[in-house]
Amino acid sequence: MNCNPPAANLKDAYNSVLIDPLQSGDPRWVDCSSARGDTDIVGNLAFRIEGSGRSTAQLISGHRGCGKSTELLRLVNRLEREKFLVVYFAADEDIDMGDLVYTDLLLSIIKRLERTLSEKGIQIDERLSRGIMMWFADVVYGWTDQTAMEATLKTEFELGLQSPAPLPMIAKLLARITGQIRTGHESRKDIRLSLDPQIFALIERINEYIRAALPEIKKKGYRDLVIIIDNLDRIVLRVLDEKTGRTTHDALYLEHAEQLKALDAHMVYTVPISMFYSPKATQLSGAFPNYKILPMIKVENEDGSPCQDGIDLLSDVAKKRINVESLFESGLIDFLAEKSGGMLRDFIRLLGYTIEMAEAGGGKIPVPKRYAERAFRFLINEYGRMVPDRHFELLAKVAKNKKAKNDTDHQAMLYNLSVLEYMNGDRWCDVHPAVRELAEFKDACRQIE
Amino acid sequence: MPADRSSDIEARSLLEEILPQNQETLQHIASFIRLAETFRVVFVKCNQPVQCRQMAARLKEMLRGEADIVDVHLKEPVSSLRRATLVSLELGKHEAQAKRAIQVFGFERSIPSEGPAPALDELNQSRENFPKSFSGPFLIWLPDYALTRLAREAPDFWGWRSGVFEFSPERKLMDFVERSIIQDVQGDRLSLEQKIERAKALDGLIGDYREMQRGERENRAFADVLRRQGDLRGQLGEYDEARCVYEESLKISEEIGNKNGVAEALHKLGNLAYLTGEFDEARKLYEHSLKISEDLGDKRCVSRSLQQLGILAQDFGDYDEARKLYEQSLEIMNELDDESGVSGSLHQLGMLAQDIGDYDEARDLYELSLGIKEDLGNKSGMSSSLHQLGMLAQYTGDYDEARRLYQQSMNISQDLGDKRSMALSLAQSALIEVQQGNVRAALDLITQAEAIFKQIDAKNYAQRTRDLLERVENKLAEMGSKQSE
Repeated sequence: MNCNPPAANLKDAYNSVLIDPLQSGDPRWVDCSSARGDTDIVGNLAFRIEGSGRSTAQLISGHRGCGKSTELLRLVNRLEREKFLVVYFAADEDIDMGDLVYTDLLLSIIKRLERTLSEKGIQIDERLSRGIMMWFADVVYGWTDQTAMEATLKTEFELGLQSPAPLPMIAKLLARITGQIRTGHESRKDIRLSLDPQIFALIERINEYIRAALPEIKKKGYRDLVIIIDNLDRIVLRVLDEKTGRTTHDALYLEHAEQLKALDAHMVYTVPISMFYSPKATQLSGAFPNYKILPMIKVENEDGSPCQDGIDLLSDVAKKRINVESLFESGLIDFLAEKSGGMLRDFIRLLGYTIEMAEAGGGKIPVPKRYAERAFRFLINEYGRMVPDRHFELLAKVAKNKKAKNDTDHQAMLYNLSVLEYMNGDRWCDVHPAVRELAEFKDACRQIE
Repeated sequence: MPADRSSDIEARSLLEEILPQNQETLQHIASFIRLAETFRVVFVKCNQPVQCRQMAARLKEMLRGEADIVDVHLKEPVSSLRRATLVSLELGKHEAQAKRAIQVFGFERSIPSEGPAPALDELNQSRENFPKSFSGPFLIWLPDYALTRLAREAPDFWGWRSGVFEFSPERKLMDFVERSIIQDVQGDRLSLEQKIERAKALDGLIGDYREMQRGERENRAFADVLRRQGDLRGQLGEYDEARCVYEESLKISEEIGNKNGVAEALHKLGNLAYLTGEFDEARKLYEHSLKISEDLGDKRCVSRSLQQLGILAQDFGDYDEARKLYEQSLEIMNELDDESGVSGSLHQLGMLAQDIGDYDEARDLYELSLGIKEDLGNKSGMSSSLHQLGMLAQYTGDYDEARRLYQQSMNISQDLGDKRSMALSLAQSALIEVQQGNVRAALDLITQAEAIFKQIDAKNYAQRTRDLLERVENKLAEMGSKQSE
């Protein structure tokens, strides 16, 4: 956690602008909800969980680098303060996102749950736990003899890296299964083949496990159990069926919506923002009425005039890290804020570029604004590399209509951040300021006029 | 790459002065390395391996005493950039110093210009693992095309970048690379490894040309570079890649109205069509090329097209037509005093005599041709003469001599990385074994040959070897059933 005073020299300033998400409680966090269309995402998500006696399933979505992970870590913090037991994990640490099937996710959930419970010293009924373990052992590996299984797992784990604390047998078993799935081990296919027909039984086993744990969790003074899965939106978008256009995203979030909702805990899943712009958006919001999209920070109004509120907020983000007045010429930060399109990560990136170039140019303080302009040119080139030629005409239309259609091209444009989404009352979209500077984009705009 | 190293030294003296924008980029990278105290990933765009090495050397010079920069060279495609880098660092036993930056070269080997790139999928998901493995600045050097693919296909990793630095093409360096590579590509005296290195350097050069504003002079040179790359790719058995670059070369030559270039590219495309068994297409392309060369009065090219058309006629059994074409071709080559061309025509006339069954005549012609090729150091030509002499020995029942000649031919083809010729010699050797009743040895050889033909997509040969394979397998099955009886 960074509690240092704002950086007052270029080197410290440079190292205070990192692209990684902030941990909850970091004093550098700035409440940007007013410029995100007054949506307090964390508050909303937490409110549903706190106010509901039954289990809930909510979705959160947002552009890459818009502050989603930072907000989710705040949610964890808030719920923990409210006495919830929170299991938070990044899906891509457990699962191969290039080849994810629903059962992988369930396995990962129970593994993480088991780990959290054991870390918190929460023990569940020994017999029940063993029953669940042997169910997995039988279904996945066809092992029915507990003693033989324990011997196998013991040798495997002792030959491998020493785990810091002796793992309970069920943890070893789950680690073995998820490990084989994660690394694309050849037995991945076999594991899936054996689990797939058992999907309802699998959910039932997990729910049994949760139900057995809940009284123990409550005994420790927690109100309920919440499972938050970050980075699940990184699941690679691939068309699975050319005819119907069915994708990997559809397979997880639509076809398994009921299963995603069937777990006996408060669930929060991350979803790719492009799903809300796919032809199946209605189907998704029908399955999950409780979803939240984290929009960009609005630095420009729909009519193109600067939105000072958002610019000031981004400027606060900089001020929490850097002694802006002494290091930068006035107007520099506002310029960068506008050109970032309200995307936090690009704003942070532009700050870094500006400092690098000022240093390369001799390190004069305060840094003149022209370095910020050059930093922006770099960002423009980077976007130029990302945007395929066929998108420019569509981008010109988005800039004109401030709307993105529900089709695959627009999904791709939201995914690669050439189109950004904002909110004030209504949702609206615009083209990233860096893309707007590209010659191909300007040509396309002239064409459609 | 010993051959490149000496040329590097020469290139450096050429590049005492680099473009001001490249100097600025160097300073920018240096200030990035000076400033960064934690893991940060940046990309450096630089098309040519030679330019990469030079810029990296200058960078080290600039940061001497301030930062330790460790280079990682990936020599082969990798499935995981992170793991491959870790393995390479481990092998190099680099001790952690006060400040260490890592720069990785050669990741483009894992990013083909087309087709699936699993290394990018892996990279896209592994960003979180990088800071666990590396603690300082991490620079990934890539040519333009590879960086663009990465930006589009590994968006999550790209999203974490802390910078993209771009080096512009240095005209002087391009000229140098062009001269030094093109000289030696022509002779076909290169080993497989050298060819792969040259192809990579030419890719860099092509990237540079694509980026720059080109006038007619540059377009002419660009079309030539593309054609050379096509030759190399063809020699490496990468026919699809070869076709792509020949077609681009053809397009550019047409645009600037360079008829020689057009004729040349058509001829090369004809060769490719022939090699992949599309004979009608090949004939059309050769005839088109011939027409243009005749209009231009370019005798050398006329003679070459005549010879190729002769080969086609011979393949279709039209021996009189074939002889007429070869003799016309030989006459022009003699007139031009082109020894290499003469040796080629003699070889073809030998093939014709062989087809007709006049083996003594054929042997004389091949030996004449082989002698000239030896004098010229034309290895690939030598390999095919030896192969043909092997066939003659085989036809006349001198199997040991035939085996010896095929082996000699194969040794040369292997050095040259000429897969097609190797497979041909393998297939012929298999036939000897069949003739001598060594069915298992035959099966082994023919299987190897078929795999190569399939790999290089030589359809007609693949079909023929498959038929042979089937025959051999049937024979083996027959023998098996006899034995069990």
